[in-house]
Amino acid sequence: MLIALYLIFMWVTTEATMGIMQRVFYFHFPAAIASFWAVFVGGIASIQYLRTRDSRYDDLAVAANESVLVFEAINILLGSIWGRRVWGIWWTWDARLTSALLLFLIYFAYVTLRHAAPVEQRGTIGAVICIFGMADVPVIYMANRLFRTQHPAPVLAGGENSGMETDMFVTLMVATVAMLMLWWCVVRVRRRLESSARRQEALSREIYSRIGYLTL
Amino acid sequence: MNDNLPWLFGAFALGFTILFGYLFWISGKERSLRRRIAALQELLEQPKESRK
Repeated sequence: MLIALYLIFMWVTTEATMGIMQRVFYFHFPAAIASFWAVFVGGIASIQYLRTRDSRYDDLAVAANESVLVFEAINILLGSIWGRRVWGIWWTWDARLTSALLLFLIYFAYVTLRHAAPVEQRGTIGAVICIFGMADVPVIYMANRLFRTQHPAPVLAGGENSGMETDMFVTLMVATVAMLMLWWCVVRVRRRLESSARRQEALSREIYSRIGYLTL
Repeated sequence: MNDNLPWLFGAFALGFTILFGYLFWISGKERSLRRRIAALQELLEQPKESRK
């Protein structure tokens, strides 16, 4: 991440039209990629949990799905700040921004409903919500390819007029790899917390069944 | 161009605050969970008579 920050602030060429504000892109885009990975990993883990009922998959699903909220919040907020300086507006209801906000709301619903649901139904309810989240990712990806949006046209895999300078591309790739490594650390720490919570629940149940009451 | 410098640093600061704030929140919760687990294990290992 330190190498990425060095490249972003010291090395990469300043973009001609947007000036230094374009450098927000090297945090905004990797956060979006991290959240897409999180959706993918969380979705696969949820499906695996439904198939096997192995709690380790549920722990991974919770960790990955909750990280979608964090990285999507970063993506949206940084995009909003960038938009304020470049477009002059904080927000607009175009297809890309709205579908990204929808992803955030789906995972907000995931976290909220998971806390509210009975323990034995949490995994199933979570897995169903994940399917909606996974369906939203291709919509976000295609939004500025299919519709005219305020959001800039894609710079990667966007057709004839897309592309960027080599130094910008290198910086973007380094920042994306750094963000994905950070994302994986977040998921690992959160997964450990979830397995500790599961262990605490199991111990509480055991004590309750042995003693009949719990005074902790 | 320099007008945007505080906005650029503000944006990065916000991003890192969210990220590390979340990590600190998780570590805090885990510390408290570990304490609870240790207390529960202690309670479980106590002989039956001393629990009453």
